[in-house]
Amino acid sequence: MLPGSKARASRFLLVRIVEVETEKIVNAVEADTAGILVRRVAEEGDTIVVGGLLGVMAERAEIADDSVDVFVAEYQEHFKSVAAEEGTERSAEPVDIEVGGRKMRYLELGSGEKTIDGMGGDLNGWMFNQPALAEHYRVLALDLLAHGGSVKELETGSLEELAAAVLVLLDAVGVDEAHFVGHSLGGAVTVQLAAEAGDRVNSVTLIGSAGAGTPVSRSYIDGFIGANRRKDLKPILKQLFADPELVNRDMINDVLKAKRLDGVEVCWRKIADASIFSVEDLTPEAVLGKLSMPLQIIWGKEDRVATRPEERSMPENVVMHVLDDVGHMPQLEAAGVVNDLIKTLVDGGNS
Amino acid sequence: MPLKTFRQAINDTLVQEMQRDVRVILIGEDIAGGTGCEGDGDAWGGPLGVTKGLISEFGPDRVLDTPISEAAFMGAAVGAAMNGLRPVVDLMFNDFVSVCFDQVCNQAAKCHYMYGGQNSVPMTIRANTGAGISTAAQHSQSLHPVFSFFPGLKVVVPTSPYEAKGLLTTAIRDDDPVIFLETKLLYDMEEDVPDESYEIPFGEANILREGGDVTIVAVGRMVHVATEASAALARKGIECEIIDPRTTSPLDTETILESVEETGRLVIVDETTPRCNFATDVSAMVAQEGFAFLKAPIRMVTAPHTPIPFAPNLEQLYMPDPAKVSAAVQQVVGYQG
Amino acid sequence: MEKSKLLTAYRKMRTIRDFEERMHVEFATGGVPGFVHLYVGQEACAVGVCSQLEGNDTLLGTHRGHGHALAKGVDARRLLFEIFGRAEGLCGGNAGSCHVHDSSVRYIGANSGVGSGAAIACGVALAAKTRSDGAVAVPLIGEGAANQGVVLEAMNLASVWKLPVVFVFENNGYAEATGSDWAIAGGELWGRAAAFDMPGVAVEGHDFFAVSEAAAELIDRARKESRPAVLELRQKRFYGHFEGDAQTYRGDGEVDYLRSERDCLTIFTDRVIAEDWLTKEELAVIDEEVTTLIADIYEEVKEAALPAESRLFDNVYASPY
Repeated sequence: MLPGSKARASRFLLVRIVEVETEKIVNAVEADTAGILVRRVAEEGDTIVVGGLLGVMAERAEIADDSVDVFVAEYQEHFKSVAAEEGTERSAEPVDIEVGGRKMRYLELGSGEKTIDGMGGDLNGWMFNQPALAEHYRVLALDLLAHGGSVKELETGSLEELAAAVLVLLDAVGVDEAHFVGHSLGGAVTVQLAAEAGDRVNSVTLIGSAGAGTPVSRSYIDGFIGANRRKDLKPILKQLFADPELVNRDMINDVLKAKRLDGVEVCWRKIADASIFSVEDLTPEAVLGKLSMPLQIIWGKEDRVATRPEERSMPENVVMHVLDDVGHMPQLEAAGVVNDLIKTLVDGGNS
Repeated sequence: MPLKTFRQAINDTLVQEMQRDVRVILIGEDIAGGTGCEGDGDAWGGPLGVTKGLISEFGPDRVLDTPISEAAFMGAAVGAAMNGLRPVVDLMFNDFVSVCFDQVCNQAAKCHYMYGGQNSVPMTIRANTGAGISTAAQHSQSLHPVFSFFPGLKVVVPTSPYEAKGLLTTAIRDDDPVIFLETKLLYDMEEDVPDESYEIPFGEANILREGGDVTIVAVGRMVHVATEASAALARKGIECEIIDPRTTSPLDTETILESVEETGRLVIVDETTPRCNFATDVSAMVAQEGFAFLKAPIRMVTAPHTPIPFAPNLEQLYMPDPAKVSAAVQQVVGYQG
Repeated sequence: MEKSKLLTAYRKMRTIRDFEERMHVEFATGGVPGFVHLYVGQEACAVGVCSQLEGNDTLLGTHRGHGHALAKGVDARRLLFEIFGRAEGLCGGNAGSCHVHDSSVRYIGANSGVGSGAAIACGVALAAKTRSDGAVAVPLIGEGAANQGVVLEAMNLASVWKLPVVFVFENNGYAEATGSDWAIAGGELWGRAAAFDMPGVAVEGHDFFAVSEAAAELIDRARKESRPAVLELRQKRFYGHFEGDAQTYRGDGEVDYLRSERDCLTIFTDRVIAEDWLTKEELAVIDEEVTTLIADIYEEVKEAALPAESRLFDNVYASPY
């Protein structure tokens, strides 16, 4: 992006990101109002520590240069001192662990609560939620079987199999009970966990979830699993977001890299058949009504992948939040709102 | 994800594919090294160490050292490939195709077509390519255009360790003869490479950088030369889109044309002599299919029409570098019809 | 030799002879595309060798390959269709006379580079050795090709890798229009075998029994010991290098002499009747059947469909992208 080019931003938005390369996510966490990139601080290819300053945006391009200079200087100074206090421990590495003879990968930050990701994604999909929540809790992000850094072998791909692996992983890392957040397929796995092992689940947050008693787009799932080339995948990924422009080269490349691994396509096909399409005939009442822990559902109004349940069809124990101008990826498209909702549920429901 | 060199990525791929499929065998001069000698029977692992350790793991029935007989062992690979094996042949320097041209370009390339599809020829020919280490005129050429000339061959020029592993996996599993060209200067390049196997499809270009001002199509190490040039150009406000075709045959003409449609300008970087090479091929294709998109004449950055010199200073002069690419880009951007 | 094998050998030699003699006539009328190189006079070479091959053994032919293909069991009709570039040809019209190939009977087509079959045979043998199925590979190589580097490289490689390959050199007197005696240093192809640590044998190629006996011994050894060997077969061709060759390089009366004194069919017939192995009547039945077959297929081929134009693009790649 050259200075002066259009970008969606609020005034003096700080672009906080792990690496500039993941520019797609920059756009994703930006606020709704359009703005102009008035200063680029980082050069492309630079690696920025989380919280580092990438650039400065303003509502108008005519903003005085010196006010931008002052802002940049103040921010950099502040950031340096914060970074010095915190040390460089924040960029923790994911851990591979053998559970029941199978490799699984997770990333632990902070102390308190856990998350589970959705199909086709990996723990990096929580990159705007995990660090923020880890300021308050212990947060584990994990790769479901056949996802991210976890093993690419499955027996049936059923929710039982996926959920059992999560429990074995939690045992291995010494977590008895937790608050669970699940997105898409991860939501279906979370529902399964809550039904099977309710005593270990303090609360449930489902985001654009499968397994919540509403159908998931078969054309999306089939297209996503079958697409092995950029041109095929791009239009499919665009269905994920309210703003399709969020899909860029890096995102497509990351997904292709994950999909190319031997075994992935076969595994995802199993999961789709055994865990997504097989449970969509149920109703929200049947799936969620019997769960006793605090339970909230977050859904993007523009979700074109997972069908949004009618609010009036929801059982009484479920609180539903529908986000405007958000698609199937609320945790990326509206990270701040999602983080606040999770925090509210966790703090209110348990402590 | 572990960091691996280009060399390790290839070695890993060979190990994994040999473990996965017993039909995969390796053939080449000194790919073990030490055969028939008193000392270490796994002495070299190829002159550049790429196949080190493989004979120890898979034994001499699957890792076959050869006499210096390129014509014989390349022909043998064709025969083996037509009869149920999947040989990976190390030609060493791509220049050595000159002594087995018939086997590669008349036999391997044509058997499937000529025999009406009765036999496929699933073999991979690995060879190093490119200048930069003073190996002079007979060991430094970039011959991807020569191989790309032949229908029936697929030609791969990987640009990084990640790309090398995925593309070599695809090559070995492919049912056609594949020429896999490893750029000498990239062997020590490091990158995150998954431990798991994965395939990168042939005929799909990689877009390494998006930009709206100029399309740069580059092959092999020239992709890195273009990337370096584009970083400097970005500071001058010129945004380059960099396209690595990955395979020069098949060629992803669609991605190139789509990019030129956006940018209106094209620079092609190719470390070969300037006649009948990859750059002229892409240039002709865009001139024919995308003339209406062009805002400026196409520019090609290539080596000169000379054999490759030995003296390091002359060799540097021979190879395209970021300065030459940058100059060409600025020329097309500054073009005033 | 069993009677059934003798009958088969005779049928094959007779089929090759009639197939090629008719080809000679047809070519002169302009109905045959491209070039053809006729095998007339050398029938006992390929048929003698093939009499010792098993079903999973592979024969690699040359450009003078109609006889090689028929000896290995290739269907005469589909061979002829291929030579005429017809859709029903063995290779769908992509190979023609010089490259015709039939994997169903383990016959690998010829090479315009002439000696390359020797190298390819090494790979065929390597695959057989890997499978431990006891199969051997037999490349037929003209004595002209014997001087190519690739053939000498292949002989060395077969010996170094200990491969079951029997290199059969067909010394038919001429490499195109150049005399073998002049072009082959040392004069003896079989003699080169010793340099590569393998046995070498030379026999007269017009004598089916001499060829098959020599082939039996060498092929059996290759099969049992996984070691290569050389067999040189000496028999001049009756026609030119290709059809249309005026053959002015031949000596006076040479072809008349070959046809009267060194015709493998006459020699075979005289021997089997003299030894009471076969009867004139048995041979006459085969003659008649072959005559009918050749007449039928040559009539049919002229009306046979040409390949569809879309076939131009088929089979360039086994896995298209």
